[in-house]
Amino acid sequence: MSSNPLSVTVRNLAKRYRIADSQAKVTTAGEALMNQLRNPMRRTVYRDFWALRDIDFDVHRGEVIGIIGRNGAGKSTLLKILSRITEPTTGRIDLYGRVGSLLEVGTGFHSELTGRENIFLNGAILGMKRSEIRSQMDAIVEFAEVNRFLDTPVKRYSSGMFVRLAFAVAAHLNPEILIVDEVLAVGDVAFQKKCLGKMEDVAQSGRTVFFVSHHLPSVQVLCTRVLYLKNGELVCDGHTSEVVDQYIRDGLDQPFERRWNVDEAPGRGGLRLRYVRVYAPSTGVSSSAFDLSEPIGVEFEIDCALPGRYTPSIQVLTSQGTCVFSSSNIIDPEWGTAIYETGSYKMRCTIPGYLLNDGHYSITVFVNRDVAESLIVTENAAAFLITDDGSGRGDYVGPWAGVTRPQLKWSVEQIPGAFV
Amino acid sequence: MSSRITAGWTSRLKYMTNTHTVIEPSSAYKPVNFREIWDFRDLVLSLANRDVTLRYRQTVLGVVWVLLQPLLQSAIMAVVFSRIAHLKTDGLPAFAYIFVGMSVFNLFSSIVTKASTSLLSNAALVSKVFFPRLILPFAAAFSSLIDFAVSIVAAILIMAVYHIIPAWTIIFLPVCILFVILLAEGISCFAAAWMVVYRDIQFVIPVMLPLLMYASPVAYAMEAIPKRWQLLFAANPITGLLEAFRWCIFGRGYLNVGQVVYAMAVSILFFAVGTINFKRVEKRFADVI
Repeated sequence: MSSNPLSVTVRNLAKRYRIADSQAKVTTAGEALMNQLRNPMRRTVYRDFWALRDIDFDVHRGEVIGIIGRNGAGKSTLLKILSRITEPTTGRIDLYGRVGSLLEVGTGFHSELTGRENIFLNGAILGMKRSEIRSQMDAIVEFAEVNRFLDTPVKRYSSGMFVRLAFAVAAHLNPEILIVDEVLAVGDVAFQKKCLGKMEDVAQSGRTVFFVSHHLPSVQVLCTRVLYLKNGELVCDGHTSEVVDQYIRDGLDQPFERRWNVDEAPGRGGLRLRYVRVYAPSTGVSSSAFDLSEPIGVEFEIDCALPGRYTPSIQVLTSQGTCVFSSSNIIDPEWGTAIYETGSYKMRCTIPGYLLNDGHYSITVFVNRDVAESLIVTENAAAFLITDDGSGRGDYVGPWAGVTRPQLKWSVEQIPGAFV
Repeated sequence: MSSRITAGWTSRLKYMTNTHTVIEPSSAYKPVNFREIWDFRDLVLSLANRDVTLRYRQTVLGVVWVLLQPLLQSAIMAVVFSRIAHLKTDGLPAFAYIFVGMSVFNLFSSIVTKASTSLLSNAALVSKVFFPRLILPFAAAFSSLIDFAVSIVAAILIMAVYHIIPAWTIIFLPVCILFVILLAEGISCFAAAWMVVYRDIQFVIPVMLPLLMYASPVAYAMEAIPKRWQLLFAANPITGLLEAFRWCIFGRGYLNVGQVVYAMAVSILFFAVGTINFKRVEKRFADVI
């Protein structure tokens, strides 16, 4: 922890939402009146939902706190309470310093107003004084790169310009405690990089930053400490690497190991897929998460009831569904053209390290008969996550573009006498 | 790239403050904190500025539209109520009498229309940004006030056409306007708060406003109203405010002091109830909207 002065203390924080039964949920005064007339004695039954419970932590000045957790874990609720948008049900928070929160890029932007007018409006919404906005105007415009369009209504802006302008206003907000929610999901890569750089600067100037993101590499690079929320509870609070590891271990949406019973196993024409797993080839242990540099093993077992010439294959897909590559053992000298007798077979394939970029991937398992006829096609048979530990990227902190991440050989030489 | 920006940030460290904020569950009854609203005056002005800019920019004719509507309304009413129905207008030229009445009532109804829907129309702000929520219904009144100012200038010109010079009593005009605002904001705060929970309230208000107009002496004087309806008109707080306003600007006619005091008391009461109720339900807005 830091010896800097306290910036935020959170004690025993909890937030309860009352959810009415779907039938009892009333959104118009007319309905409310009718319900009262029909059942004058009945009271609406509510279900309690604790979005946050027993949250305690202290933050010192200059700390950059990452908040991670799955959707619905309570991250947004925590940010909303810290930003004073909604009240806690119990507990107490002390904030030492001016708070600036950026839960959305461009809140309050109006498409009919010009860029300049929107800077003033959005700045005021974010809590800046007019005089501050005026003195920062040049810096905002320069950061957003919209000089020529300053007096054009923002409805004529491209989406990129719009986002740049919106972030620029927020970036020049001048709080001692900055709260940022997943705003880097927008804009082009170059601009995201600029934004991350900006947030680093904020932290280095001794301010406190809360940063919510699903993008683990930016959390890893930016944050000194991470809070991991799970079902509204703070399950882990500590150094970034430890907490992120725990988070990765805890959760992948899809299994990295799967076994099917005989009657449920996918496949047809005498072939059945019985088992799939993803593992670390060095240890042979099944795993869900790999570092960029690590090779990834894929193993699957099939039952073969009909002898034939089969070709096992895999496809690796990104979380957006793009197929990164497919691979089969078609040219394998031993099994490539062999006839599989009746029995069970285990197939293995190794994906080298530094091939895939960081992110989630899923595996589709294929087995074809006589090269072209697919008997087994199992999408999402298994999944894994590749994480970026932050090494091998120099000073660059932002998201690394691309589906693959090969380590290519570079050479640089100075050309003598060519410089005029 | 970053070194230049860092320099900018460190130079701005002078803004560092010693603000200490405590966030705790609030009690059910929170007092209306006008100090806090004053602290956010830049936001009030920015929101008001947005509304005014948009109102006067989106229509090419701008000011002309703002005037044309009450002018036409007043002309029609002058024909219907004065020429056809022969209802009295306190001995004043019907058109001038009605135009002034319309200006005041339009101020009231325009504030109510905009302020009562201000939370819903700024829902994105309510769910994403912190500020005292009362700012929204208050900021919404500004563009109505600008329209009103234009309208009053027109009213004085119209009076000049009828050779009526505003009397010295015009100095009380701001007081009348203040009470119109208090009444309108009181009703709006109440409606706005409940509109967040019950959306259909937004359809009730546009129906109620014209009814209220005909139950007020906008196009006809109190003396023109049949005895059995007098009580209804007297109970309407807008009646007293309209009469006081006309007395201020025309400087003649009969001023029922009791009626005016009643109207002012009701305005203050509505304002207090509206804003206190608003504060009471305020904490639910972000969760419900």
